Amino acid sequence: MHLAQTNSSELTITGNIKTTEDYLAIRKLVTGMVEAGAPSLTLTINESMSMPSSVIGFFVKLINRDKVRVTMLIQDRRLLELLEELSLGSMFGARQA
Amino acid sequence: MPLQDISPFARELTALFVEDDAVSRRLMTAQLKGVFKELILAKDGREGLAAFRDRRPQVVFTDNRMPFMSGIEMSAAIRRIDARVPIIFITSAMDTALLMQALNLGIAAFVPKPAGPDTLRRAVATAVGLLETEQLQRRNLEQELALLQYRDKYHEHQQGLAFRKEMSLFENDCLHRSFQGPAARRGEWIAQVEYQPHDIMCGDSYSLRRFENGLLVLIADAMGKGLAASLTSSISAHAFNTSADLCVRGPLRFQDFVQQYTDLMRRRLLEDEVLPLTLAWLPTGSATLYTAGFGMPPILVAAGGQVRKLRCENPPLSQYDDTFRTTIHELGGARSILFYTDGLNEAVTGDGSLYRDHLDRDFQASAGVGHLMGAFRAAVGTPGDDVTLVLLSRVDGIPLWRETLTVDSRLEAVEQACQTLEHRLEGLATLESGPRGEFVMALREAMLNAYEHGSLEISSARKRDLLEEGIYYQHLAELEPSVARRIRIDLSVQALAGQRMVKVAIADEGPGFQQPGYLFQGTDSMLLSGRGLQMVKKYTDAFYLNEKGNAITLIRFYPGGSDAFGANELQ
Repeated sequence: MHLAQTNSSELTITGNIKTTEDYLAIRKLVTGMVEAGAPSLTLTINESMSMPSSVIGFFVKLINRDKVRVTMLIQDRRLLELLEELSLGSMFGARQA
Repeated sequence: MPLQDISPFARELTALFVEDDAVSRRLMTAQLKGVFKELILAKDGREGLAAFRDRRPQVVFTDNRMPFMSGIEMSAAIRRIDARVPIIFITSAMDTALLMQALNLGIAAFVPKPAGPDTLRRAVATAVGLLETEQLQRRNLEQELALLQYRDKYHEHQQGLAFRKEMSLFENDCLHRSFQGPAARRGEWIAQVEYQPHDIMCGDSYSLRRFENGLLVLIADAMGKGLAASLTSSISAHAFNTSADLCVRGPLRFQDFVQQYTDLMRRRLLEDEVLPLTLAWLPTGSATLYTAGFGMPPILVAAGGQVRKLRCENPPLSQYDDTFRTTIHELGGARSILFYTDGLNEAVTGDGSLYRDHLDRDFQASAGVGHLMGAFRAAVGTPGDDVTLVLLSRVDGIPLWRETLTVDSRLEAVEQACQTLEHRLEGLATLESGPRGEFVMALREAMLNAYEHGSLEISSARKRDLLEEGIYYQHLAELEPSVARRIRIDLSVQALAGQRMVKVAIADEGPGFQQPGYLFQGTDSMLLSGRGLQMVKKYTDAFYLNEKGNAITLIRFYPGGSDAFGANELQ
């Protein structure tokens, strides 16, 4: 997995989000962006067909506790379906990229 | 310092002294007296080598120039046997070539002749010091190894205990018990559970609890993996079962239960922790299913040749949202319901796709957990995550064929009935001889249980005693005339998911017995009847007892087409 911050509120994730290292890297980068003052975040998720529960938990906290508005632009339909199945599509602002 | 005081350790060693000159031998013997536990003497290299082979001394002192075999030749031969034993050269002549040879052989020390006390003391101290250090290192290594082995065993033991503890929190009131499942009137259903932790401790949990007005199901998949996830998993199962225990005496109100359970669990979740779970309620005598799903994959329902997906209503449980929605689903015509964790549908198959793309088809074509897991393993191999599934299946479909036998409680009649059953099963053309033989063994065990423990009421302990005394069969013959009870056998064949299901119910008229759950789960039952049940478990796709414990139903699936059941298939 590779993370690239495109501006103060946008980042792109390429590759499969899978491991604990992936979770830690996403958490570190996103936390930094929020601490720097980003009120909303747009994530473009290329390729990943799934999302570990640790990453889901992190975004649930970010959205509900820290009140950060999140939009996820998702390329792989399977991830989009997964988030819909888990009733997270709306909360995560998930849309087809 | 006298040589004898060099080291107490030296007095635990055996030394070899090789010298062809008798005077030198006597002189050295006197000097080394009391230094070692034993001093072996040899007159030349050949004798010295033989002594080394026989006695394996820990230190060697040797002259070089000797008849038959020199000191350097003997040392080379010793090195081929033992690369580490300290060898001390005591010689009057040492040229460069000899010195090089000696160094290459790892000679520990050189003592010029005649050996003065100081030189000899230093040489002995060097050799003994080498051995002492080596022994110390070996002991340290052994201690470290022992400690590692102890730690490994300790951790393995602790993990085993923790796993048993985690499993003890999962309750299954439907374990080998049928229940009245979702159907407009009465419908006989069974529950099968597959629980495959990826680590010893895992984040999946499940429980099935029966109430007077229905069945309550929990399946949960705690965030992450391993030990941390297993704690949440254990808490979720414990909270579920504690809440269920508080309600179990009266009718359950699903909405209230969900509220109570989710309130309990929210307080236990960390700030960035989520808990995906499904709570499901199947009220007795109603073709409905109540669900409260929290971030779980859809429940699958097979009905009328179709697979329906019941999507969850809520995001995964977290600290931040104390509201929830529930749904009532109509389940008319449902024949099976599948609850599962994402380890099943998110597993990557051999062709790189996700198993979710195959799951509907495999579920539709599966009759029982064994078939479904077989299809899953064929597609995925070894999954990289915990996999848990709860499969509820209706087992009272309209039979394609049925026959009832009634048997007297006599050993001869029971044997005849077993042969009749075997003959009937032979008529099932597509049930291969291997699986048929296994199923017949299971039927025999069940028949004998009904006869011995049911009709004749011989306890397992009593049977063991009678067998040990060698009078068991005599005892059966004496009891039989006074027993009027009969054994009823219902054999039927049903079509299910493109398979044929052969179902044999064996009921006796005895008082029945309650089998504790551990008997079904354990593999080391001490009871003879327990072993019989273990065989039944091994050789059937499913089995279940009635409430009273005097009727057992055994199920085996076998391939079969969708064509009408041929009259010639079973004669």
